[in-house]
Amino acid sequence: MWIYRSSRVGGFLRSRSTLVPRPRLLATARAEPKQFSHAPYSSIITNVQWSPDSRSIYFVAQSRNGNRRLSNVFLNSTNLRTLTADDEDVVQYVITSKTLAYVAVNSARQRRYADTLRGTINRDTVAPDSVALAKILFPHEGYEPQMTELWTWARERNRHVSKTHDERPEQVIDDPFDKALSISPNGRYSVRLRTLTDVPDAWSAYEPAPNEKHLRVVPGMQADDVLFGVGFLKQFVLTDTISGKTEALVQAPVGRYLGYAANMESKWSADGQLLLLTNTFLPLDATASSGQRGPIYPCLAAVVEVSTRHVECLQHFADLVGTSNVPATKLQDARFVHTGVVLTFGDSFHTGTAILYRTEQNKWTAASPEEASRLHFHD
Amino acid sequence: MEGQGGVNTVCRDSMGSCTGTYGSERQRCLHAPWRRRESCIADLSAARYSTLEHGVVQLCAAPRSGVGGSREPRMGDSVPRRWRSFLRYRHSSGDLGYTGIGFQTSKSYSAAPLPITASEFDFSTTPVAPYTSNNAYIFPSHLQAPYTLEWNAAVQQSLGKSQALTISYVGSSGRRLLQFVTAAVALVLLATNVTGRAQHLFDARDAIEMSRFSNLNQPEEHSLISFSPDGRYFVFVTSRGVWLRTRLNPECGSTAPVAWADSFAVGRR
Repeated sequence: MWIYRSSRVGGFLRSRSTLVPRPRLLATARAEPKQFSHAPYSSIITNVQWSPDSRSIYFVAQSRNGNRRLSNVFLNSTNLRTLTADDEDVVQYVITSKTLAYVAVNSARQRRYADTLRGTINRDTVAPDSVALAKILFPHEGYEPQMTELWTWARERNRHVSKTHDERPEQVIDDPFDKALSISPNGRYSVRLRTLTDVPDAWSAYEPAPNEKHLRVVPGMQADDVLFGVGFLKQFVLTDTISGKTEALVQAPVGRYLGYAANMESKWSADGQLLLLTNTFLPLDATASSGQRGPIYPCLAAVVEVSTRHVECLQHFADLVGTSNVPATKLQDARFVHTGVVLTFGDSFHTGTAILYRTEQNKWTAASPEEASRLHFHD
Repeated sequence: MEGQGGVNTVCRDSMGSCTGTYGSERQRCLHAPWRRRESCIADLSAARYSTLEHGVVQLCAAPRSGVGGSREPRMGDSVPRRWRSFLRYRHSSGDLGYTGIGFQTSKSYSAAPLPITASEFDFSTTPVAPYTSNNAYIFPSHLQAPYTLEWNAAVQQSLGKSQALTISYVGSSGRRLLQFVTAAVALVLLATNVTGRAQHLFDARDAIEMSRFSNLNQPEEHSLISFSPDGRYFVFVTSRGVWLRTRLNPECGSTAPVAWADSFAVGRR
């Protein structure tokens, strides 16, 4: 991992010099890659994130046994700290100024769990792309769900937050749309996606994406023989990082597994009272009370009041989706500002449109451009 | 006597003269007037081929050399008393080095004296027009063909009337082995300054995963480039695919371990 000083690169770009600025080597990881990768020559250092104060960098790096370990390096030193144990495979992590939360699979516990599923024969056999051979040959027999665990790291200590009986098996994949993991500003709550085991009958009313009718929700237990388990329905859940209690944040699935290709994000308001979720359906009762008729599309962005779980949609997919799974106008950014929520849309021509939403009589509505200007919002 | 498991046997009598040769002539060994104790030289049956990625076929020419010995029959004697050495080489049955539209080269040797000189391995390129395919293979004009040296030694000891023990050693070593390097590996972080010339900001030895680049002129879009919240720094991650090269090379190049072959007497004494 290399670091550049932006000012030097900027100076070079504005100059006629041919002396290019040189980077500084910040951290090095050496291991034979064992994790699945979509591209050759992928680095074993991934998921680079800066600390909010710009003083240090977090990243995950594969170790010799293939587990991704969370590490941290400060800019003013070359000391590299590894924050997670060697038997923890870090799948996702998120940082705030006070706390760090991560989702990991414990390889020792996973091995015991896998042994109970299908024994030990050929367990380690993998295809060249690192997918277990058994999963390819025998999707049902070879399906090996992984037990993901939620951890926090604070005050130099790791703490297993989620309760074992709360953990659900799921197929861990590198889904670029899954950006759901977040932690509240005070570190008390964490949000992530979790696989559902029993799907309510009423959920078949949710409308799949236009060209993905086969993805309509099938009620009942989710079958293990879904290829690799990647088609499992998931929903946003909220975990109390102190008690470890986990419960559904929105009683509805996210849109991704019904064919809606958009990021699934969760973002907290500064006071920790509101949550901004993207690409999720709303609970059916909330949909009915909003007066929505016809097919039930997911919500491109919704705001949840954490204490009451009241959820309200800011923008529906249906307004953008047309006949395609991917709307011509994409949600590029969703964030809280001091006056409300700003959704930034962009199209393939790189033209962006920012819309300000603010509460008015306990209802979220889009502000007019004039009003947005008056509220001192500028994109 | 017949070699097994991909190892052909050169049979020699106790005086060191050959009574059989490689592969197709090994039947002669079966009808040779065997003496009770003899030594044989085991050899690999053919030069190995290896296929690199993207259709580049690599030939391993295989001159062979070996050391063999024979022992005068003497009861109770367990140490060879007289050794003879010989050198022998054999070219591979496939001679084609590389081929493709616009490129073809080949060279073969037959009964050439040893040692093989460096100049004999300088394959020249012979472009053949017209080029009628959309795909063309382009090699540097100074490209030197890879080759593999292989050597072996074997000692065989008959055990009783119907069995023999053969201990063989087979070694090989590759030279000038090709390494397939994706063009993307050489592409690195680019920036265009006011001179309008794109400059490499980074040393080209390090690979950066290029598949996520949507536009080379907009490297800031790369997902592995991350700016600090205050904008003062940015980091990016590169990779060196050493592990890939070490996995390709053993196809034709690493020294083989000791090879063992069992032999059994066939026929009537």
